[in-house]
Amino acid sequence: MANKKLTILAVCGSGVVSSSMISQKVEDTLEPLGIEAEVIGLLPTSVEEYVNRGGIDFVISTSPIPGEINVPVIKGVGLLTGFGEEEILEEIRETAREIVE
Amino acid sequence: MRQLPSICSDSGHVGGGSVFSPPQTRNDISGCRKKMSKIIISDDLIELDLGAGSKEEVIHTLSDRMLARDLVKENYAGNVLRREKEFPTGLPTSIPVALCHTEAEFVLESALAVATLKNPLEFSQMGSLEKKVQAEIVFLLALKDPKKQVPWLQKMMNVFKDKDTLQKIRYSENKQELASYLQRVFE
Repeated sequence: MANKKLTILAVCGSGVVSSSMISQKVEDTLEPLGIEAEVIGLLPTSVEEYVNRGGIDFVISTSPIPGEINVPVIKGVGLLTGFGEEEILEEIRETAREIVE
Repeated sequence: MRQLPSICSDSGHVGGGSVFSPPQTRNDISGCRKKMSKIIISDDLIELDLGAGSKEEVIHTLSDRMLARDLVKENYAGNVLRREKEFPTGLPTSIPVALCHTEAEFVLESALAVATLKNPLEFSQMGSLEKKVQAEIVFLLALKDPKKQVPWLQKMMNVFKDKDTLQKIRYSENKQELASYLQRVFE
């Protein structure tokens, strides 16, 4: 199977601090599925506009996101604490699989 | 994740950058993982068993430590508190923590200050203004260029997830030893 590439927004209050923390986790989770992840850190207030421009496959966030987001949004705080981490990773895998299939 | 192409031109990622006009809020973090700037950790930026009565007091105490070394600007603490209201940083880790920080414009040099609290203090939980955590450790993070500190931030996440490390920090009784320990953790 050829490698698929997904573009994912990682969202947090600063657009970089906790989104950076979770980015590697997202990439490492998808790699064994043959899915390459390009992760972009973003502020919550920019997400709606960014997603509406197209090209974003899903969003993972540690902050509430205002507006209507028409791609899947995964809550990512558990990746920072380790609690519920496996459930979040499975949600990432499931979401990614559905998109590439 | 990727870094802004303008900052990290060797990132090798052009796809996203060419598709979108880059808003200033966007940070492409994937590329510059190897680049890392130093983050100061030292005993004078540590408070052990701090008897603070509010999160404001902890943040001011730690910010004053940073100010004394000219690591942050005068208005740093106020902006950490402003940001904490909008984007809370409490985390329900095995020992609850808060990871307070603010925008890079208030930072002169990157540093990490730490307080262990005599009495846990209430912080709102990251991602939710309703949920609260009773933080026992407060990390105050001053990042001058967070996009260059991605590997460091990933180590920080591993600290949150590791109960033993959090316990060592929580029950540390010596600032010098804790500073050396944290320096090793973030090496």
